[in-house]
Amino acid sequence: MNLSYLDIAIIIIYLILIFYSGSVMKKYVGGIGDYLVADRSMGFHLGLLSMMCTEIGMITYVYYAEMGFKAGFVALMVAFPTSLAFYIVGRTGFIIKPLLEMRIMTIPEFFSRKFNNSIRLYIGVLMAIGGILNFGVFPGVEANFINIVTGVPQEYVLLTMVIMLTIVLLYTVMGGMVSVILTNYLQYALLSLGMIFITIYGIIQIGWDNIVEAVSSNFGEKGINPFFPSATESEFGIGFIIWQILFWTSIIVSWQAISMRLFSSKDTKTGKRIYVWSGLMFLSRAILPVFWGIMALAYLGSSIESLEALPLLIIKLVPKGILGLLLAALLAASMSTYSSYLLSWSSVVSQDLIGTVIKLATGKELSSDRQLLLSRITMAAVMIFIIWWSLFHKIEGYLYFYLNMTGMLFIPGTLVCLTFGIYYAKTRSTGAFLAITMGAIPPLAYLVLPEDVKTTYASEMGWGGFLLSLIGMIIGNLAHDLIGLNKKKHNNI
Amino acid sequence: MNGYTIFWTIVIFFSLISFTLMSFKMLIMGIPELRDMFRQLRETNRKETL
Repeated sequence: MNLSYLDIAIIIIYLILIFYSGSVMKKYVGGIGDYLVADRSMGFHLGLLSMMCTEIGMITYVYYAEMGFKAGFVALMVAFPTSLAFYIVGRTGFIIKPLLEMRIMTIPEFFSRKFNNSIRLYIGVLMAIGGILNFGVFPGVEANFINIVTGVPQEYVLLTMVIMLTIVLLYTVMGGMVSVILTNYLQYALLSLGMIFITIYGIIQIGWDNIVEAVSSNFGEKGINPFFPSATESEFGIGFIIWQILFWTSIIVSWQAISMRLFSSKDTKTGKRIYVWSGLMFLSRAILPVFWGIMALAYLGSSIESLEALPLLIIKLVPKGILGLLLAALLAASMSTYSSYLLSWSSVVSQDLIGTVIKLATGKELSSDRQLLLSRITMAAVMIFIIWWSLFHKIEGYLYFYLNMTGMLFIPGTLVCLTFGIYYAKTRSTGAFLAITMGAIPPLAYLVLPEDVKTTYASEMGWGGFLLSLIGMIIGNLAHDLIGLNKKKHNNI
Repeated sequence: MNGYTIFWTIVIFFSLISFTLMSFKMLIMGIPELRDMFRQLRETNRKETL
């Protein structure tokens, strides 16, 4: 066991505090609006804090650290497109302003308003599959992380997953978005202190010159110059940047866990402001963990497993006593992500899949109470699935790319449909259908292709998805109009 | 140190400093917003009950 009694005591106190605050929130949850978007009552600082908490989990640290460990300083490139996308969308209000003015709760709702319920159902299915497959690797990676840090043998990985998810499920089911926002506040306090501590303490202990030297000796020019051997051939070159800018632009307007933060904000101005400042915060969200991976390389050498670099760095570097506080911070990060993701993906399944099917079949909406019950049952089902997926799915290539590509199942189609649907009045449902379908082809290919192919062509498959989706939209719109014209001509005859 | 190394050094330290400052600001300014959020939710629930 790597933890002292003091460490264990800190973790237990933290868990009790979080569980208590989550369960206390139950009395504030009235209808489905409170449950999913906290009655649109969230201010700027809480919104930003909650967004950061949701999008920083133990898995975030692990996949970014893996990139730093495997690629050196050039992996820091991953931070810039995200930051840029947030800033541009926040400043211009591109897509998010019209969405906020429409006062919708989930992105698929937009599809039923702009197109029809079949398109909503179709994008809902892809969102649910992509989102849950994405979420599905979280428990395995994180339980592995916890077991390494605590010293619990790896054969207990299932038990770790179950305990962690059960705690999250209990307080999320009880409090919904309200409990997520309050517990996010407590969690962010720990999480931010933990991030600052690891970075500063790591630099002091390892030494800046040793870190730079480790990158130079392990990777040479390739680890420092992101455009080596050329801007087009480099792993983090132009292709990667284009893909990531498109990817993150779409993520921040359509990723359920992020867009729910947007819909929870109290007005359009607050929503936009949260996005602008998220640009700066998301820069650090990537830079600091990538840097920890580089520190792990300098401190532990390159012979260890890349996904284990960060937990091993933590147990070797951090003194006992502080380890408990740090683990509580990491648990904080994960639990807020879990609670938000459980809430987000289960709301897609319950509202956009089951709700739409019921509406199509009966012609009536479910009552608020029934929607709430359905959301809670779905949440439990999603939890069981992700435990199963974590146990049996083997990750190949960068974990970051796997997570990107599962999201890519619906991301290109969503971005193209939202852009055309909002800014081009003649957008047709056939165009939306083709955009969604064609955008999903490259990520599907990525998920089934052999490891060496997917690693080499990840960026091409990334931006290719957006290009195909755009082509699909144009062809679909033209075909729809042509068919429409033909019908009119036929009727005239 | 070459140009890229200096650039990465600036990026890392800028991120660390901005993250630290923003985090403290969010935690301090978040307290009155939490209070407002609960007040609004309490009022909404009371209206629904009536």
